[in-house]
Amino acid sequence: MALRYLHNPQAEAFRIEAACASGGMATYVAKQMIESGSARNALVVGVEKMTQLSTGVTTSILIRGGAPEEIKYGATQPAAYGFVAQLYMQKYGATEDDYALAAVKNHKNAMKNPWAQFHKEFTVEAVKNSTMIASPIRLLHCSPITDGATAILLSGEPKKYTDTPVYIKGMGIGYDTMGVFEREDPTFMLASKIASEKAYRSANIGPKQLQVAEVHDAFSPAEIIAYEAIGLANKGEGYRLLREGRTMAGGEIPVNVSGGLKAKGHPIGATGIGMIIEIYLQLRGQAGERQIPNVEYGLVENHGGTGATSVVTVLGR
Amino acid sequence: MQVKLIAYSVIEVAPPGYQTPYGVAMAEDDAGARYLVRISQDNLKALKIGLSGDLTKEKVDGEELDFFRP
Repeated sequence: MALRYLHNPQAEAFRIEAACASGGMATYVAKQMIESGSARNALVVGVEKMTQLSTGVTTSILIRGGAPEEIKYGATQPAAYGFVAQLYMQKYGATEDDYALAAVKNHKNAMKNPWAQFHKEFTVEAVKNSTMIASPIRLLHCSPITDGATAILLSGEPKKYTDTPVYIKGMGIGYDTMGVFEREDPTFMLASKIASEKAYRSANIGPKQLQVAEVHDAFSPAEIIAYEAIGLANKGEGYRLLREGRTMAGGEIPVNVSGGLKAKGHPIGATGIGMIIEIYLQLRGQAGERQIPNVEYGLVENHGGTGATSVVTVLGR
Repeated sequence: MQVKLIAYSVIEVAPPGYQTPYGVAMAEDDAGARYLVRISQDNLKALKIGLSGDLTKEKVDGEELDFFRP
């Protein structure tokens, strides 16, 4: 379809599928093609149309992102994150308020994002009183069903197109088991740790050099464990960043300034590219009202399933 | 077989075809092997982490599942 609209039968087009990490994975493949010399430019496009189906049908499609056992037992994605949320609270002393804080922060951030699906703020109480989906995961911990499309152009000769390009400084992929229940430590997102270590190594920076990050908050507990996986907090201390306001827009390391998957929306295949676009805008000083000052480096953590696949990208100027 | 619950979730909103609410849980046996288990509606109230119980096999829509019975 891309070829038809580009009117270029010489171009190569294909589809990359990695559940919620499809956008990140497609970007990774495009980067490899350019670096290997097999392409000069690559247009990475993410499209998802989800709202035409009922929530029930959509849920039964999305459960396919889990392990075969999870599908067999009816352990939906919210239920798998329910395990993570419960284990994490028990192990480290976090509370349901901490999960609510992630949702509250991201909805607040989305107020300044004209592209966000929701422009509506919630209180911690409202999150805690929202409909139970799969305990302890409630409706307002869940990212929504979204229609969306995103695109980025990667180029081996970026200065041909702009004087102020944004560069992929480092990128990495990590994997873990499909099912949360199979993991030695279900409260830790190993795939994102592996991916971020690779990305930091190739960018030659560490987490302390970041000014901004977008993490994959498909369900609120995921934001907290992502902080730990990408090295913003030690194991078991991610929830403290939220409690202390350190990842808020005015904090020391703002996370999900776009509103995150929670409030910006989560059009599955388009999400990973959308996250990169937010950091791109931040790096170019084009993020409007939600601009974070002096951004030198930003990170994107985009994972698929409940963390079976993860793609982490470090972007810079 | 005797197992204990290490985490559970009571599912209130499920894809079509599931009778809600129902429980799913991560259970562990004495040797530390992990199982995904189903919990029937009548046992949801008693759930807590660390609860011991037996695994019994039951057929649901032609599929054999391990059910946890406290």
